[in-house]
Amino acid sequence: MNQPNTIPALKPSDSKRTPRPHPSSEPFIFTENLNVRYGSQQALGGVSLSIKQGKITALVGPSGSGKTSFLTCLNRLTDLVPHCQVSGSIQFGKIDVLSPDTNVLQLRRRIGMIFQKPNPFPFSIRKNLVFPLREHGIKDTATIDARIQESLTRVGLWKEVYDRLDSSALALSGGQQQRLCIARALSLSPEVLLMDEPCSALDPISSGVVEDLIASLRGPYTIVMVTHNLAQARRMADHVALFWLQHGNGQIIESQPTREFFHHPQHKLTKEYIDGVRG
Amino acid sequence: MSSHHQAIQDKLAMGITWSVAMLLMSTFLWLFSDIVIHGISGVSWEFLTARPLNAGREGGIAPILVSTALILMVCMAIALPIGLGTAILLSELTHQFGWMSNLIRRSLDVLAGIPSIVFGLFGNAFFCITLGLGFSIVSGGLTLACMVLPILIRSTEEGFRALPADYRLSAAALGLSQASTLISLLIPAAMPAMLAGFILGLGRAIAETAALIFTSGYVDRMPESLWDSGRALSIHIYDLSMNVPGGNANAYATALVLITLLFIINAGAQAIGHRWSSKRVLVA
Ligand SMILES: Nc1ncnc2c1ncn2[C@@H]1O[C@H](COP(=O)(O)OP(=O)(O)OP(=O)(O)O)[C@@H](O)[C@H]1O
Ligand SMILES: [Mg+2]
Repeated sequence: MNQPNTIPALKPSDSKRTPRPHPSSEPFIFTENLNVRYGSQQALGGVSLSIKQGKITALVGPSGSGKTSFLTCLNRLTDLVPHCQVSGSIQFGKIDVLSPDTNVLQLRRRIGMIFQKPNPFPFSIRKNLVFPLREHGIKDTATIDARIQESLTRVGLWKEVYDRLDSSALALSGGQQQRLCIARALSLSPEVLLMDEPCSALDPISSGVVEDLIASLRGPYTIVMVTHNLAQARRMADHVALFWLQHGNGQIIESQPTREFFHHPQHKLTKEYIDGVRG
Repeated sequence: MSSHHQAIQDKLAMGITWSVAMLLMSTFLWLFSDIVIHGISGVSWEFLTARPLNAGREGGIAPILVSTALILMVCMAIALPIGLGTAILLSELTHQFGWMSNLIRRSLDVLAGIPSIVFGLFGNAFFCITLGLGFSIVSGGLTLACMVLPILIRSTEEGFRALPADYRLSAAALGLSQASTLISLLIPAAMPAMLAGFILGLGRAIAETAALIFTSGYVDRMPESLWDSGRALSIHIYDLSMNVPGGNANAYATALVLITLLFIINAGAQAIGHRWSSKRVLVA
């Protein structure tokens, strides 16, 4: 009866769908004993983490501790890396993410991703948004136009670019490009957004704008965000997980609600990391 | 003391670099001016539109221009799709076809180094005789295609490899399939490199003699179809200067036409490349 690996396709009709405010505090994404190897090198060893719906989960930790590797498992972007092997289990709603039967294109439509470096396509602003929509079966021009305006408005870019939608996206500033990338992900109405240090390549002002934008997405979207900036994690996150290299592979050594994480860390290394002694 | 030493070294390196550059430049200028001086008086509208007479000593090169154009057309019609397909296989599908792409790449590097006379003999044996195409424009075009494929493939492949890895990752992260990423994003973005490869290949093909002499032949009549033999520009130059006493004047004029064509092709490529990079939008 229920087919755990079928993901409902994006329907052109559900245009008024953005707010999806039912943030239950049930775990939404659930990883268990997740292992990632690149050839013979093990990058992640036995990582278990539950991610709550509608919350911002921050992943922190020193360089090379496997945060990006963890993030890219969730949308199976690891499939693109030659010799990369992932084992363990990832449950997203009812979907078994790592199952070979999972439709990865639909999965990635539902789990969007924002990278450290803004990466708009070398197209016009409009085409950056139209191209993915069309690929996901939305062909009706009126629907597309509505979505473009809606998602650009959502990221605060509409007023800045509505009169030059047909000029190159690469001519935008770094912060604008990053917001365009967020709009591009939002236009596909995902449920989860994975963000890999989304502010760290931006100047302080743009970084602040993008940070406020991300905070405003809490609720309707579940956000998993890697950051090197502990102050940012403290300001924004509901939950913080600390990755650490132990015995040659990345593990989560502490995972707590933000308050607890900063005020009552369980692990000795967490305290040292927060105090800036380590990491 | 050591900084003084370094200054001398710098000057020396500078001097050598400059003299090598000047030597190259002057060789080219000498060649080029020789052709212009001897050829310019022979080139006229008449020359471009008339048939060759008296074994090419008199008359023009109209059938030769037509044959050359047809040979190039056949060559590119075959080489472009095969070249693009192979380049995509080599650069985008490498980890599906690991050992095979290595084999292909190795073979291409060997092919690129083979002298064109060998291609000519192969083309004669395979296209003209085995496939029964005879001395024809088709045989010549196919032989040239074999010859320019390595250049075309390697430069297109480099073009794909030079694309930021971001494109593939961000497209995948949006749930776009590999096929539509390739068609709508990677191919348009790699277009300037493909074009550069195409021009390089065209440049090599248009100036080719040895690969054509045994395949498309040297009949200097106007070709009636692709199955006719046809004489290419470079073969006309070769024939006039080596086999026809008193053919030098028209050989020079033909050489000038050939060089001018090469210049036009290169300028066209640069103009397109420049427009591409200045617009920064591939597809609006
Ligand atoms: N594509 C890859 N191929 C091989 N090894 C990789 C690859 N990506 C990551 N690694 C290795 O996996 C380990 C974890 O890397 P990862 O990028 O996940 O760390 P990170 O926590 O995101 O680091 P940073 O904070 O520097 O971004 C590192 O040792 C890295 O060298
Ligand atoms: Mg990282």
